[in-house]
Amino acid sequence: VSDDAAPSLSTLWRDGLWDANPGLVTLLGLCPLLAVGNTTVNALGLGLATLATLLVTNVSVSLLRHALPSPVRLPLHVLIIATTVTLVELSMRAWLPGLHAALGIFLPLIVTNCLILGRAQAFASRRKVALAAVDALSTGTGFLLVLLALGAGRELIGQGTILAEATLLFGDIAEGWTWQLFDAEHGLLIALLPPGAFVALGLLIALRNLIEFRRSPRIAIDPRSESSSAP
Amino acid sequence: VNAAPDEAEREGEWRSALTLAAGVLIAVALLGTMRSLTSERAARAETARLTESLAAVLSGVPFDNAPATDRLLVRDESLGSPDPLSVYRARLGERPAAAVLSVVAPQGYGGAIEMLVGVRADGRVTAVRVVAHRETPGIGDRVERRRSDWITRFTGHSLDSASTVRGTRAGRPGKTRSEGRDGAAHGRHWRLARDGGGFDALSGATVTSRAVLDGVHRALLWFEANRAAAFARAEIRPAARPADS
Repeated sequence: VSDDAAPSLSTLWRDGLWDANPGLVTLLGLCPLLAVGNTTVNALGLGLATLATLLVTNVSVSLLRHALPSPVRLPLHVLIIATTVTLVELSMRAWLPGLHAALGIFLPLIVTNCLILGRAQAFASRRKVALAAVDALSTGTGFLLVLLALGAGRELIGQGTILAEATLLFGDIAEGWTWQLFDAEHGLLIALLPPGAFVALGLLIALRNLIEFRRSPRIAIDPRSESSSAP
Repeated sequence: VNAAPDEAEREGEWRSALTLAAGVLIAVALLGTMRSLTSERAARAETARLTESLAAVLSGVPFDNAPATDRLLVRDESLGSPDPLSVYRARLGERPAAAVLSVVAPQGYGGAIEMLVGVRADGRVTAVRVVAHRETPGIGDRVERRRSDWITRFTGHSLDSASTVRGTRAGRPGKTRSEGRDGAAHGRHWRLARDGGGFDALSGATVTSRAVLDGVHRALLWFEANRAAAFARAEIRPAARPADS
């Protein structure tokens, strides 16, 4: 197996955070994104767990890229991912039990997040360890940021707070970190429910597309030139 | 002539199989190590969480033991689950102070609602807390104490006192204890007001409220029927060895 031509670090970061952001562009791993992204703390917890998993799996897959025979490469990648997620889950149960309970089934379901297998197969299994690690960090951070924007937005609209129950993630120091803008009763309930997740994600994607559109005037098409170029 | 490629192929298969087996072994070893490293801490965190919930349910009840470890497992479908559920016992000295029953209300709007129901030795509810549920955010989730005080309305009620409450509500004199003890009577009063009973529902969450109310009622009925046994039996231990053999 020969390593492909290496992309530059800045390209990796741009891809992960913006050009190929998993939450907004490639739309990978939407299930946890939509289901858990209803509060800032849940979003941060799941985002960090996904980032940690992605880092460990990308590095291990890259380290083992010459050792795994191709017929069993896919099952071994899945095994690596499942093991990593279980390790993350076990440590969370011991050190962050409250958050572990809040995330529930979506923590073990990180295994099925196609983002992680996607990065392992498409990138880490063909690149050097350092590049695989940077790719994991950039993609994972991109995912985390989208999850966080979604969680904070939905929490604010739905119940008027940011960082409610911060103690689940940060422990007792976080007592009083919650920022309450208005009373929960005046919240727009739908923001917390599954339909709100789809609407919020749609708005985020639209916002990204709008920014991208504004930034690249070259897309502007003259209707006359289009019709004249038709055969 | 064909032997060479065959052999190479077979070698490749062996290599694949061995790599896969090695991978599985390494994964099992890693997970086993991690589990044994964290199990004690996880159990401690679990106990801390439980102790905290029990303290909330037992607030106002004096006790001097550790209810989280004074546990009885009860398998009784009337508590809402075919699986064994825990009964935690609070004692003052050696005397029973209160029992906390884990109860499942299977008829919640979003599935089963798990609750802790504290009952004083005299049959009055100390407090009720929902520990796990999947009710609608903003509507049914107000059964959580941190979202509304609805759940506190059970505190102080017993199988008979609910009938007194109902009597008062309807402008009739409260029934005597002996009348209230009648099964049919309290069965009617442990209902939502809209079903002719003595408890108001959470607005917009009738199904949830009915499920929780029913769970508390079943807990009280179980406690009434098993009061002596609930406190008398020792903590569940491995089967006792025969004394003299």
